[in-house]
Amino acid sequence: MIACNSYDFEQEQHRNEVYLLSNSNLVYDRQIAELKQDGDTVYLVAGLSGTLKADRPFKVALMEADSLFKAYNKSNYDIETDRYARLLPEECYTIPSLEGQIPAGETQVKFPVYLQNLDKLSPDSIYFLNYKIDPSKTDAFNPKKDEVLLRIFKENDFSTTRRNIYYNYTTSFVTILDKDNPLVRRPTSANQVFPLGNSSVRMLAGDEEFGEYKTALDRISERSIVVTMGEQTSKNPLARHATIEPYGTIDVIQLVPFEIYDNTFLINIISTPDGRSTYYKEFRLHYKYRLKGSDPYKEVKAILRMEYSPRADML
Amino acid sequence: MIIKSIMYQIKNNRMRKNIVLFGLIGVLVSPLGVISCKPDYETEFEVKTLIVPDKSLAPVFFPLEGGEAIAEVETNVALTGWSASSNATWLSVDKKEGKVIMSAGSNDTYAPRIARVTIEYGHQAYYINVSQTGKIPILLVDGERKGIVKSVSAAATTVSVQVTSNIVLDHILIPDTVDFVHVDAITDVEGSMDEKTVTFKIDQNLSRNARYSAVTFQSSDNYNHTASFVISQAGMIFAEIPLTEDMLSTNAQEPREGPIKNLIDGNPGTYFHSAWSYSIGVPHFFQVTLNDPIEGCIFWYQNRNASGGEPIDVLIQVSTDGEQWSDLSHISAGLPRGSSSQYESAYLAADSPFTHFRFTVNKTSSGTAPRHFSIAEFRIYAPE
Repeated sequence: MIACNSYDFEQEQHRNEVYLLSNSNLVYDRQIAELKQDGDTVYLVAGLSGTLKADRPFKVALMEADSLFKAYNKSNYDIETDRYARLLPEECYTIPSLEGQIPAGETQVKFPVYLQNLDKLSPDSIYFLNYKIDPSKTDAFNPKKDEVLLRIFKENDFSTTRRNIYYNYTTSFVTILDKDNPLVRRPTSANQVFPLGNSSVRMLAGDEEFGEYKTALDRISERSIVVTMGEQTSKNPLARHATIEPYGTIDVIQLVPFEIYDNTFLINIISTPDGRSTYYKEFRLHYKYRLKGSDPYKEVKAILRMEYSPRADML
Repeated sequence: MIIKSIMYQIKNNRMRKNIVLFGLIGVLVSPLGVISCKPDYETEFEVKTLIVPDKSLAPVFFPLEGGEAIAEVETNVALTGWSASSNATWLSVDKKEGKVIMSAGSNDTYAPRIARVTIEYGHQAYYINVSQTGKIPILLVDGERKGIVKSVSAAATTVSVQVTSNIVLDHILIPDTVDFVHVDAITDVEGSMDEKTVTFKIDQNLSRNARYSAVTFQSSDNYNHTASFVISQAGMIFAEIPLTEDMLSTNAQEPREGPIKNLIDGNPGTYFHSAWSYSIGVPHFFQVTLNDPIEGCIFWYQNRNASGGEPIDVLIQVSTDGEQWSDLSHISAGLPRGSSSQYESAYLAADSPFTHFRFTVNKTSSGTAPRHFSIAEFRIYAPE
C-alpha cells in the first residue's frame, strides 16, 4: 500500500497520440449496417491513447487510402483476383466530413459514414472502405495505427453477411414434373440464405447445391432464387407475403398457395402447454423451377426454418 | 554474548511494536463490524408482480360478428407501469385496472384470422392467442367439393362444369404433367350471381391408353378451400388393317431367301430379307399399298429370330399416289435390337389421308444403308 501510494498516478504514463480504431490486422469489422429503406450509419473511429485524458483538443483528419486494401487482397487471395475484396462503390456511401477533433478531456471522435443503396452490393463479396490519417492536418498520431479497413457488413430481418445463416428444410418436397419420371425427393438439408435488400434474400432453388463456395459464382447465378417479403397477411400478422423471382438465369414460376406452402415468411411460435415457446423464422414456399429450358420443371413445396430467440436475436 | 543480547532486545522491540499495531487495527475495525450488522429497517421491500391467471391465458375465439373478451390481470403495478398490445389491426385491446378488454369487429373475409395479445411488465410477458372465424366459403363443382369425374372419348372435345361459388374464382389449376386439357371459357350463368360455367378443351388422345387429369379450383379469398374434379379420357381404339401379299412391295427383295409375303404369314419363325446377294446403291425399303385412305396409323413389327439385321434407324414415309412421298416420322432411337424383339410405334398422324406407307431402313445393327435388313412380322393399325 505504501509503495503504491508513492507512485505518481497524476503523471501521463504513455503518450497522447491519435489512432484509428481497428483490430490487430488493422480491420474494423464490428459494425453491421441494417438494410433499411433510408440507409444506415456506421462510423470510422479515431481514438486518443494515453493514461490520462488530454487537456487540449487533438485535430484529426482522414484521407482515402488503398495500401491496406491492396495488402489484404494480396495476402489473402494472391493470384485469385476474382475473389478479391472490393472497395465500397461511391454510390453506396457518403462521409460528410473527414476532419474533426477529439475534444479536451475526451478520448475519441466518430466520423459517420452514411450508407445507402446497399442492396446493390453482392452478398458474396467482401467490401471495405480504406482510410488513413492525414498527417498534415492531424496532431500527434501513432504511425502503426494510422490506417484502417472498415469492413461493410449488411443485414436484414432474415439474414446477414456477418456470418453464415442457414435455414433447414422441414416437411418439404421436391417433385420432378415429368409424367414419365415423377420423382419425389424430401430434402432435409440446410439452405444458406443471403441478404440482398431491405426485404429480400437469395437462396438456392429446391435441393440444388452450389458446391464449394469459393468457386460457386456461376452456379449460384444459375441455381438461385430471390425471395422478397411484402406486407403482412390479413390472416396472420406474424406472416408476410413472399414473392419468388429468379436471381440469374434460372426459370422460376411462383405457384399458388397450397396448404401450408402458402408463399409467406412466418414468425412461427410453437408453445408447449407449460408456457414455454420456441421461435422460428420460416419461409413457406410453393414454386416450380428448371435450370434449362429443355428440363422438366421441379415443383418445390418447402418449409425453410431457422430457430431464433426474440430476446437475443442475432439478426 | 554482547551481540546476542543486542539481537534479543531488537526482537523484543519488534514484538512490542506488532502488538501495538494489531491492537490499533482491532480498535479501528471493531466498530465497522457493529455498523455492518445493523438491520435495515428503512428499505421498501414490496415486490411488484403482474400475473395473468391461467384461465385468462386460454385461447380466445371470436365468432364471425366479433365481440369482446376479458383477460384478468392480478397486479400491484400501477396501470401506467404495464402494457397490453395486439399484433393485429383487427383486434384492439383496452387496458383497465385488473383486466384487459379485447375487442374484434366482424370478419368480412372468407378466411379465419389470428392475432396475439401481449401483456407485459418489465421482462415478464404473457401471451394470449386469439382467433376469429371468417365467412363460410362455398366452392362446388357440379354440386360437389370433390369426386366428380367427367369421362370423354379419345376424340378432341370440350368438357363443361358448373362451378358454384361465393368467393372469387381466380385460379384453375391443371397439373404440369397434363398437356391435353386447356381452359377454354368461363361464362356467367344467366340469373345466378354465384354460378359460372367453365369449359375445357380436350385434345385428341393419340394413344391406346386412357389418360386422366385432376382440375382444381382455388380462390385467393381462401386458398385452403378448394374444389376439384377429374377428367377421364378414353384411349384411341385401333383396328388392324388386313394385309395381303399383293399389297406389299420392296425395292430390294433377296432372291435366295425371305420372300416379302413372310411379313404377314403370322409365323415369327419365317422372315422377310432384303437383298444381300446384290447391291442397289440406295437404302432398302418395303411398302404397303392400302385399299382405303387413312389419316394416321400405328405400325408394329417383330424382328427375325436371329440377330444382325434389326433396323435401328427407320424413315416412315406416306403417299397418296405412290409417286410423291412425304416424311411421316424418322425413328432413330428406341428400336429393339434383340432377336424376335417387338416394336409398336406411337400414333403417327398425317397431314392428309394417305394410301401408301413406306418403311425405309437407314441403319441396322450391322451397318449403315444401303444395307440388308430382315423382319419376321409386320402389322399396321388405323383408328376405328
